[in-house]
Amino acid sequence: MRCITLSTFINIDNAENFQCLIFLIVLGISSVLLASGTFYAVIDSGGTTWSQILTFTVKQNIRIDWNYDETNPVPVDTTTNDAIIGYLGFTSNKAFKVVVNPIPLAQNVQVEEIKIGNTSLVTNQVVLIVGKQLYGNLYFKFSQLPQDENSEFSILVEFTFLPF
Amino acid sequence: MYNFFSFFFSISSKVFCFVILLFLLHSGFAQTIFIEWYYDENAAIEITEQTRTVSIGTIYIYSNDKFRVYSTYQIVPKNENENLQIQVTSIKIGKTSVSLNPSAPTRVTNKWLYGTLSIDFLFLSTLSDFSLILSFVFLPPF
Repeated sequence: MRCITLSTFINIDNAENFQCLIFLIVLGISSVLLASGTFYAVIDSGGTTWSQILTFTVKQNIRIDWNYDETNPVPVDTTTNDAIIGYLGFTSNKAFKVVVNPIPLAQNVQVEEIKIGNTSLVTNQVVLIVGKQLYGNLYFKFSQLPQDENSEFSILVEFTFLPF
Repeated sequence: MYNFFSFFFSISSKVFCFVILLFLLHSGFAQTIFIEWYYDENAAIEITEQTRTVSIGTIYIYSNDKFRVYSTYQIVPKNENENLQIQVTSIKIGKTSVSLNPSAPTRVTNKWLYGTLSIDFLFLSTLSDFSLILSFVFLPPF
């Protein structure tokens, strides 16, 4: 906490502060910055100022925008073993961290990589987003897929957001 | 020799000081102000864009005479590059509103103010962390 002290106050037992007392009376304006607690001063004819610094912090929030076709299963390209699941955007009022955890709900499915736009998110690794925003196509790359190309499977994707 | 001198001076300054104070008190010049305010200054006060009023502890201000008081403030963004548009629309101690106009200070005729210190905000831009330098200026009754 910054302390801007224009005058020191006031212990009559101390010879130096005696000089300070006289100085204050002559000056006509006195100002003290003091922490929580008690404050005591003479009111000068020119006014006596008491100041306090209060610190305010904005609660951090996260906004998620996700556009994808919910009516149909997401098609997986079996030649490249990847899929794009619409457009995903994270926006916060402050820099934040995000961790992704994809949980396949079927056997024989392994996610190798997840990307949002150009940003790669490694499973269970914290990614720092300094620019308060992360957005782009949600991209999944699979390292393992079911043998049966006609099968469908589900993945539970967890995003965890942390303060910076 | 020096020790004797400084000893003598310290004694005489104490006496002199006491005399000055007596003189001031008898002549009625010394109006004093006493402020008691407790809050956790290490804790940042959390707000959101929807915040309208913030309460910051209980404050007790009293004087040995009637006094006038007004308030001024300064917004200091945490990130110095940001231009925050934040206004304080009212500062209250209990139910008493403290004037924000230096030309028209609040008159405190019963010599004290007591209550919860509350500040009303108006956020005119996107909100970021900031500090508020809050000042009370105390004036004699006339």
